[in-house]
Amino acid sequence: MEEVVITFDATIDAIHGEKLLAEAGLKPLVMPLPSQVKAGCGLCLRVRLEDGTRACELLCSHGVSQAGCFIRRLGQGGSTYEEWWEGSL
Amino acid sequence: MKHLDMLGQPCPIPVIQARRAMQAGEDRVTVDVDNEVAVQNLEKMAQGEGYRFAWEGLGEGRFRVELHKNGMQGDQSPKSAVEGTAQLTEFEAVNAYCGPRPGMTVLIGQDHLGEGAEELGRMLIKGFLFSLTELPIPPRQVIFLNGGAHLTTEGANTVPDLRTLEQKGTEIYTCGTCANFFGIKEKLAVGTITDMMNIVRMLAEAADVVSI
Repeated sequence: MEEVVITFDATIDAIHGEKLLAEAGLKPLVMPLPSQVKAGCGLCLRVRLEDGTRACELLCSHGVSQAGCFIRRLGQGGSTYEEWWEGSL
Repeated sequence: MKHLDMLGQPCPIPVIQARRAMQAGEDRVTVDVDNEVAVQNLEKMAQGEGYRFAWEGLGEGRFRVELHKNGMQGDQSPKSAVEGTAQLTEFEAVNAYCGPRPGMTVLIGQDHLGEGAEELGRMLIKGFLFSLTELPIPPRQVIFLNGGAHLTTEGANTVPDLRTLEQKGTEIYTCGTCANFFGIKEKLAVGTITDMMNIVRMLAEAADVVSI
């Protein structure tokens, strides 16, 4: 399973971002900042891989700043995170 | 005869599914599992409920268990090794045949975590529930009551993570009285409805309880 994890510099941005993405029908999920990821505040949003680009664009267009985007892969040994940028999808 | 492919399924799922199949009227059920503990627990269940039991190795760590209601080769059906176990509820049967599973019991009585900023607390509880899915030993049970009942119903974005927990063997319960109070009993999206007697019994039998 793969999904896009969006991190934020400020907790309030994560809260606003969740509302924004939910209103857009992107069904964001919440998770704490994983220990493997160094950037961002303590809360992250997860969206489906295919919604990653749209989610980031929506956040940017509404002035919600992001600290970073990562791809989370869930394998037998747990979750791994790879830095993601729009061109990699 | 019914065959159950329980490869990759942790206990107590093979025991629960096999018991349900036998109780539904099957005379013979075969169960494929991939760990010896499941074989042992299925044998305990067979003894407890009075079924014939046999198993064979399939190689590569896989086993096939056979349960029969009737005796084989002229043998008489064994009597229940544990008096009255066929009358056990599913919850009691899991405890009797699989033993208390490891993992804490988590009691969640609100839809947010902590006090001070409720908006933040609503995010924190979601992060908390996700984190439970990452534990090497997932919780044995997560019980939701009062405002926590909103987290298990349609529309809550905590449901996918709770389903992940359920797939890992965690039992998810929602207080029926609470769901009824909020008018969301019909919208339950994960786990099962339970009552206060059962909640208290689970807490009394739990090795560790974390209350939120």
